[in-house]
Amino acid sequence: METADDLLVQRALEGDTAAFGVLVRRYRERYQRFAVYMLGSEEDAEEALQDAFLRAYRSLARCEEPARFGAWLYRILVNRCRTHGGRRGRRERTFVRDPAALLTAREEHPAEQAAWREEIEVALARLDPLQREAFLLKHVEELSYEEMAELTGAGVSALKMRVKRACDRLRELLREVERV
Amino acid sequence: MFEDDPDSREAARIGQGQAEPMSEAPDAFVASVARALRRPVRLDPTLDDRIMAAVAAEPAPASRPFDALPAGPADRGSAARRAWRWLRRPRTVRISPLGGLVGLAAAAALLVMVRDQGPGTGDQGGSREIATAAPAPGTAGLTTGSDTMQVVTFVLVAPEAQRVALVGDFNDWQVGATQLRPTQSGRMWSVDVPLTPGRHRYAFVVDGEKWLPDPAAPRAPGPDFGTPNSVVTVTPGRRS
Amino acid sequence: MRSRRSGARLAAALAALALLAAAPAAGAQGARTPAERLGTRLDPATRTQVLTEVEAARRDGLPVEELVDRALEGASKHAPGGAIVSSVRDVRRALGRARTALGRGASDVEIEAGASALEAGVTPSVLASLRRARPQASLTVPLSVLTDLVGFGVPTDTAARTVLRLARAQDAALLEFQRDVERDIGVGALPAAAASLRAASAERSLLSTGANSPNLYSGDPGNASAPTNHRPPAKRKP
Repeated sequence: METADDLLVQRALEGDTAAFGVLVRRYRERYQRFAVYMLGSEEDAEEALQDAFLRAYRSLARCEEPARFGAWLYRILVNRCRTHGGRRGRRERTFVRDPAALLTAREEHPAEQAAWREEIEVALARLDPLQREAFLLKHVEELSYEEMAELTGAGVSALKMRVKRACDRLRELLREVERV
Repeated sequence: MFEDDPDSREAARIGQGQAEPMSEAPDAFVASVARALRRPVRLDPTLDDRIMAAVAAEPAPASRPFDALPAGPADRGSAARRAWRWLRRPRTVRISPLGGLVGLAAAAALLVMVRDQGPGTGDQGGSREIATAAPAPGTAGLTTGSDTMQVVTFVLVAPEAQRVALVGDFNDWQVGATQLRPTQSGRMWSVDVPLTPGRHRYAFVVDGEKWLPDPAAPRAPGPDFGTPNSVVTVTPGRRS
Repeated sequence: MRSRRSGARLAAALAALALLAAAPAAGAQGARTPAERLGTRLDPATRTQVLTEVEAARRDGLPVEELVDRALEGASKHAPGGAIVSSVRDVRRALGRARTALGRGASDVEIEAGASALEAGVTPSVLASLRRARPQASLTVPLSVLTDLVGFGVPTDTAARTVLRLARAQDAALLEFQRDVERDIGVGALPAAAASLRAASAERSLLSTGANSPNLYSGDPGNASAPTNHRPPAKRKP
């Protein structure tokens, strides 16, 4: 049975750095995929994640619901990705390396799978950042609209609109590719 | 609602019955795209260690937040003082030896402080860009016509660096022109530079080759030849 | 506290004087021509093209220092000549657009601040709106705050809206607003939300202290924030 977030936060505030380390290990893998696809590069994602954890650590006392540390951290990460994405712009996007995908892909049309993913990544990069963010949170990270509203500060109907726009645009961009 | 973008406005119009609502039927195409993206990604396995190394270098998080309430008009002076203390608290972020210089951009922290130069600054002394008083006696040489120069202190926390230079429009972007000096511990580097009022673009160059913007300062807009810059804004002094 | 502060000031002043003696380039580029500043740091072809842009800007009555700054930046970063010229041209165009939006009476510092805002994605109409909201006082600080908010991740629309709301505030209040927003963002607030909330709070303070009082305009004679190379406003067409 893992230690609850609020207990870890409390210990970290008392100076137990290792307790914060547990939180890092708990959430870094959970949130890294979003950062990678939001920013379009693993290096940028690592930077954004490190930045988010550091900011969370520095302002740990301002986390109002330590039992929901994860949600609070996620919000910081979403913010970091927005700032980071805004600064670098689109010109430096790189593709995501995924040795795991290539491994499993060998079993099922390997070259097609890899190419399909690359095309998706290109299309993702061409979305408006807010739409990309909403699409990733909804369909890849599978959050509810209420959860997304809490993370992003936007209203549920605005988020639904962004997701719809993102889907429409992805459909448009990936239209030539027959995949279902 | 704080978001102001076309989608939010469109959603508002739907809410007001001025546009068609959209359906939410599941979609094979979207499912296929999402499936492809839902494969786990792999990042550097040492990332957690690097994060914890940076955390370990931090001072323990404050047990009480210093400023929970927004400043009302009566608090303006003390809020500025508190802000000044916050800006001055050193952020010691260790630069990871693993990534060599690659991690520097994420790890370096900067404090930019504008120090007042004369009497009468009252409660506003020390805040970063607040208009400051006329120069103290002995510094008349700093006043160039009506553009009273202000001394700005640039600080970089870079314990692994051998040398740190400041480059910007104020020294013609010459890498050798303005060297920062290390503190006794060698962890922090600083230099005082008199600057004319206005916006100044700048960056640090560590060990002669790695260009760094300041993560805590606003990013300078516009073309940057591939390495981003930061901006410091200097306001002219108030004449007494 | 006071004597410690004076001591620190004196030390700072002496250090600054020593610095000025050692590094005469700092802040003193007004004394040298663009050609002198460029020196031999660019290859001849690039240097010629850059000076052509500088000349064109000068003919248009635009400030030229920024153009030389960008060229020198490119030289230090070992950028190819084409990229340097292209960047300088972009800046010249931004300066021109800023001057158009801000009106012919705009000072050099305002034009430069306006150009930065345009480079950050702010539209010319926002610059023009700022001028209308604040016709007498310098726009340098509002434009700078606007640019820096965008630089911290506040969407341009929101940044523009909040700064326009506070257009009649003193420069010091605008800078404090910016600092508050930066700090909020630093501890996890969303940039748009932080900007909107702080603007609302700042606006309430303004109204409670009498925003319409002329003392609150930074153009008040007691405040030297308007640079003295501010040209008198040209007669505007009705």
